[in-house]
Amino acid sequence: MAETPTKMVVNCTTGETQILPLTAAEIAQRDQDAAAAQAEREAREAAEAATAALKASAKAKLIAGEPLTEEEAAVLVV
Amino acid sequence: MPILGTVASQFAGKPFIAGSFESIATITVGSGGSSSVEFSNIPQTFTHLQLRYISRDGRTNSYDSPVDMRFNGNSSNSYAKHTLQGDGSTVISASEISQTYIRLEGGGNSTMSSSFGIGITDILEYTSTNKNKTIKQIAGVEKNGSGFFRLNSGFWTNTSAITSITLTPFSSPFAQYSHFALYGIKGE
Repeated sequence: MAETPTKMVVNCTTGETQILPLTAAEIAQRDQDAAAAQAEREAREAAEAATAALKASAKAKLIAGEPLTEEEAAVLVV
Repeated sequence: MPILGTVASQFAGKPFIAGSFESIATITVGSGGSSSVEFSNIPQTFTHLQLRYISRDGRTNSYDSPVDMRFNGNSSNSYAKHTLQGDGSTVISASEISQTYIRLEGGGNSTMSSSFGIGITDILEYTSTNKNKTIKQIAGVEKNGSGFFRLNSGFWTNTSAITSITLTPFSSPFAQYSHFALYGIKGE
């Protein structure tokens, strides 16, 4: 059986710190957040990687004196 | 001994007032890790809050691992964030609206050989009951020689006074020695 995830809670008025198990609602929220964050992050990182690849390709073509595609030109011109 | 910020404020013509910047509470994650950390029952006796952290989580690729912040346990789509990032060669700007958290940057992950990301976040006028809440943050992370620095602003479209702050890692759990410190700032 999987261990129940926990959270650390500090009561700022009393200074007491407790380690509490997450509630079912908190676990559901955590799972939902994780899935959404992963999808969003992967999309952003894929876009960053694609831009980097276009820049590298454009640079190589410039050095070789070859024509650029429109996409390659777009990443070089701000 | 006054901290650097309060010393600097004297040079700007504002006198240092003892007790104007106080530690409220700190959380250090233990050996078992933690799925989230929470500051509850935040005293309503300050004007602003400052949250400082070093954090690290279980993410296993080469990117950073953000820290998500919610107020008063609210997870509705009422948060937004704007980012400017520089890494020494590329500048990126981005924004996120209608989110269920404010995504604070600067967390490290498990591939970074014990490197922790850092964040310093100001939460402005947190006791106000007639203003939406705004934050500003500086953050950074080292990625084995290729880190970045970020400036973030964000808001929570809610006029409730902030009484609790919950922080969750991008990839649970927060690693041991992750450290979160909440300070209160008095004055204007």
